[in-house]
Amino acid sequence: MEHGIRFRYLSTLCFIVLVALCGCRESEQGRRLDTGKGTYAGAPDQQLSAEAREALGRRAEYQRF
Amino acid sequence: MARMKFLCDADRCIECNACVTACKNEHEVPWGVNRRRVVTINDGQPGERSISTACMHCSDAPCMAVCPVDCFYQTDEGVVLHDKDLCIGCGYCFYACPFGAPQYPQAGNFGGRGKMDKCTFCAGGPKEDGSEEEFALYGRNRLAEGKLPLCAEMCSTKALLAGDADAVSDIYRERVTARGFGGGVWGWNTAYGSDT
Amino acid sequence: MSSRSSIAGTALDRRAFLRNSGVVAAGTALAGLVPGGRVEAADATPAGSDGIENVLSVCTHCSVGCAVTAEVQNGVWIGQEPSFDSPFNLGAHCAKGASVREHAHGERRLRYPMKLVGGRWERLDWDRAIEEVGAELERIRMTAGPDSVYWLGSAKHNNEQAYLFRKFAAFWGTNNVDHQARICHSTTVAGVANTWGYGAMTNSYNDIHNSKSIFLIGGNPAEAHPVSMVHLLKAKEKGAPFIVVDPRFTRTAAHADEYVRIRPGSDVALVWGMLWHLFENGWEDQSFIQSRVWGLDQIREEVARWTPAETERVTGVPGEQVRQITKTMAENRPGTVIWCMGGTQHTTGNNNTRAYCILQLALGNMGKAGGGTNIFRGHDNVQGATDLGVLSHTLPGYYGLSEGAWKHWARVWGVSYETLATRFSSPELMQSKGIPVSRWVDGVLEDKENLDQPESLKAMIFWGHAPNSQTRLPDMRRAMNKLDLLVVVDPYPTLTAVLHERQDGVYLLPAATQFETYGSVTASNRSLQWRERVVEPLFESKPDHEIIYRLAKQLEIDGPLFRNIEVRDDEPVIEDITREFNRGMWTIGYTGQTPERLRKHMANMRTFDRTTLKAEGGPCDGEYYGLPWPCWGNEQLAHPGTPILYDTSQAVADGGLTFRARFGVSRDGENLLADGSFSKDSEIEDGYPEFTMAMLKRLGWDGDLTEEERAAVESIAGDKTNWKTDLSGGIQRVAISHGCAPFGNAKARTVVWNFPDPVPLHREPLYTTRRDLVSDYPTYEDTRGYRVPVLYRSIQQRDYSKDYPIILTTGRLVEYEGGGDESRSNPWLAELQQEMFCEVHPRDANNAGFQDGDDIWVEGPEGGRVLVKALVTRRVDPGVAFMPFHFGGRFMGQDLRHRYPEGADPYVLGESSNTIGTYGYDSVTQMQESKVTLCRITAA
Repeated sequence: MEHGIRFRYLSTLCFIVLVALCGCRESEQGRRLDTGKGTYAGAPDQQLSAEAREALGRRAEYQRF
Repeated sequence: MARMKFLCDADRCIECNACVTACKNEHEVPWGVNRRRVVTINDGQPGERSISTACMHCSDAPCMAVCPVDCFYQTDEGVVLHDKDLCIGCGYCFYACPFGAPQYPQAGNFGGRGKMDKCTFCAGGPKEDGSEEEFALYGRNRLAEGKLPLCAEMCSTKALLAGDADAVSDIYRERVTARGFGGGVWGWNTAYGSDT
Repeated sequence: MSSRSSIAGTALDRRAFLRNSGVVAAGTALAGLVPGGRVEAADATPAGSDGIENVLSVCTHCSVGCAVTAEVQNGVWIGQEPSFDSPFNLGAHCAKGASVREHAHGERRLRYPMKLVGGRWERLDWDRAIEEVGAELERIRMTAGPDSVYWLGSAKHNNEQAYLFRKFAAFWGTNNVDHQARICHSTTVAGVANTWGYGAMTNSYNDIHNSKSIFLIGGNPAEAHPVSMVHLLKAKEKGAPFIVVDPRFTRTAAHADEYVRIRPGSDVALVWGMLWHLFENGWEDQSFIQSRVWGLDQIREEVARWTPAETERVTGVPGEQVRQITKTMAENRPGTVIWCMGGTQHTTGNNNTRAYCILQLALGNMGKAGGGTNIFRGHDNVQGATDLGVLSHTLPGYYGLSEGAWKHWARVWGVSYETLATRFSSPELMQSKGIPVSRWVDGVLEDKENLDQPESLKAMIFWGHAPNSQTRLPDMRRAMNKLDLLVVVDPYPTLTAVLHERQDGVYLLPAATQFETYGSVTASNRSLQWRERVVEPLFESKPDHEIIYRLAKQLEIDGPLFRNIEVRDDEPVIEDITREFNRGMWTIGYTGQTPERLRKHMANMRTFDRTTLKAEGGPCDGEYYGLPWPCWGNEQLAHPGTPILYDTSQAVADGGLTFRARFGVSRDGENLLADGSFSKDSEIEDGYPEFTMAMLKRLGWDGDLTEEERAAVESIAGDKTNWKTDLSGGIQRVAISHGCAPFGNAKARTVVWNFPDPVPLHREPLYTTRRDLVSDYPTYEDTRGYRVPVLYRSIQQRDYSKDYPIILTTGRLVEYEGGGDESRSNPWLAELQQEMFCEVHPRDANNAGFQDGDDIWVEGPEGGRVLVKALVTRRVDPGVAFMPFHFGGRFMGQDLRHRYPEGADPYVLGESSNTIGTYGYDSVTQMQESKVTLCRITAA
């Protein structure tokens, strides 16, 4: 009986440790957490070129039918 | 050019799913992640109508407001994009989005969420345009090539329109005038405000 | 602007991206391509070059003919762009068309030749595979005769391969050759051709823009031909009422102005009910009928019994609705009539198709822009494979199997008739229809005494054909078990590889898809398009024409077979094959579409009008896109193609036409030729028979022949040489120069005296719940045809409706095509439709005690049963159930995944609807009955 309780105790402990560890992945370290509405914090993106913008305007016409 | 919008003409949509597979094809979107899908109401009954939905690239995007790491940005063309290097896969944006756009690949232990993935309006993300890295993270950047989203460009009945807001509403208005009926532009008020 | 070309190594990374992202549905992972001959074509990107080339091909799914623009970089297919310039698809695709690039991933393709040894798949090299198959075929030929081998070809061949396949069967010495058209539109081809001459779509998808009304019966283009819907909806938006008749409220019906729910299998009754109103109200087109239609008085007699009450009793359609739709059609002319498998796949399929034609004739809607019978064919090249004769009852071009037909093709092939005849068991078998694909199972299982050939079938060659599109799968399994040899030639193993219970004697030979080869393909509207090769064949696969050549060489028939065709590195030159059939296909005008002209059309597709399909200016000025057949005469005649059949408002030289004089000049003392109707510029201003040399002489037009043409005519059959057999094309040229149609100018006939039902009749399906109608509208007596017994009355007389009270019908889903082996192996499609299901009305579900999503058993009266998911929906009526037919890989509850070669199992498996598909064949063509049977549905 006692053997059974210990087994259950150990397995629960293992489970908790596992769960805790899974929150410790490298990719999840040092992250920002900000719940207020803020400004974009990521990498800048490129602007569309003038040619691309012009081409996009023309391209829309293909959908007219 | 004003800003980019999607418009789905429900009187034309036949639920063929071309938009869905075109998206999968163009961006090699993995099984289980659906940047775009087709929703049908009154399925199998009179009044059955279908709508193709994805991220609508809202004017005042709720996802941007709720993101705890501020990984969202909106381009000059109105396209809502995000930086996957910042995203923590928390799922707040999913709860905020009125269109159910955010998707999460199964990643990590115990089915934990991976980085959020969604429709980019075929505009890639914050990596060098047309780079391998951009493709791997966000898919192809068609806008940079002067091409519109492939889902709309390949739509079987030209129900799904994409492009400059003035251009697509012009096409739709012309159609509605010619045929004398139009079920309204589904989702536009939600996405772009009531003055649209 | 950053261009695509800056992405070095994109393809490799795309594949890596896909591989890393967990696209693992079941079974093996995607990674780890097996070493193979040409695997680098799909998998590697040599460094240094960044040129992206756009290659133009055509979608390989349905018959709309959507152009596919493939972006290819260093031999790798890296992207698909919209083909905005195509007048057919205007850039559009459906789910299938938008995902064809997956062909070049080919994750679940058959990679190399394999054979079954002791129940396990073993890899072979091509030489050994061909040697072993060839040796076994020779053994069967020696012991059982050439008719014991069945050559089942494909609507997935391009035209050149289809033609070569039929020619190959001829040199093997059998007419046991067929393809999907038998079970798709054979009743259309027979019914329509016997009404007015040609058995094809008369107008085009684009011409529907001109329709003032649309009557669509037994078709669901929103799923089966999605891109056609852009044209239909355009007509609807221009004001054409859109009427959809179907037992099921389809996704197409959801867009209709009027939906008519019909009891499955009562099409003739509905059309006669409509004609009852038409005649009653005098809405028929009197002058059209008087000048261009024969036999309508006999139709009137039959129609008279189809009063509104009787029509409603048989069809279930309310009398007022029948009147309303008839009035709509009468008031909105010209209207088009469209039909698909819902009309064709019946024991009375030929009656249905003729009834639809008669409706259009009575309305005067034929030969007009906006009118016509727009018959949507099912596969990308089912029209072409039909035209090129991959059929058991004819040689290419519908020449038939008579001695004259054989002699014509012998001349084209440059061999003697006698040489060909020695390949057959007897002249009788050479000239008699072979077993159709719908009946090959009986060709194996019947005692040979019951067959009209010396021995039963011993070998079956499935060359691009899924078995699950045919009914009676449990019988098919027994037939497969009994064969000596079973060969699959296909890009995928198909259900054929796993359905049988054999331990050996099965070979799988990997065929390339149409994106890995090139050649012409015929869309439903009779236009030919030219595909270019997008990528090299994947893995060890080979294009069909190369496999045919290798087999012919092994069987030592390559010499005469390839007399006019150059072979380079074991691959016959496609253009040589096109040019060979150009020299022989006079009947339907496949003579003017040379590879050069077709390539020119592809290169200039944007110059063709999106409604008329006519080029305005540019290099193809005045021609119709894809030179829709008949494109009369030889290349020098430069005929523009015929966009609308039987349109007398145009000169024949410009694409106009009359009804064909195919059935003689008189019948029962009545004139069968046109009466005062003729095509524009015709010098004969009345009906006339088909052109022969003797007729040219009588008209005094023979002087127009050149010396060469005259000599050719003399050498063939002198005065008896006609427009079909004159290899010089002179007779056609002269007839057309006088404004005449080479095939004559006759009335359409509404009574086909040589068919079992000269006047189309309603007959109850073999398996029917309406026992009260069986005595009034009984089926046929048991008979024989196509070398096998054909049962009718002996099945219908037994009442199954007590034990099997629900009508079962079948159809397509947009995500899959045909047997689905290819589309279920495409992860982009498979993800969208992961479960085989059966649609059941809520009332039937409640009565049987199951809910939406439950597992259910659907059992058929011939012993088949399938375990599927219940989809409880009002799409179907109470008492009617629907199943899609694209699934396979599960059989009566048993999972067959482990039986596929490793890594070649489709992502999605499911029970085949045809496991419970039952007996029943059309009285003229042996089309299978797959739209009406009975079933019993219970919770699993």
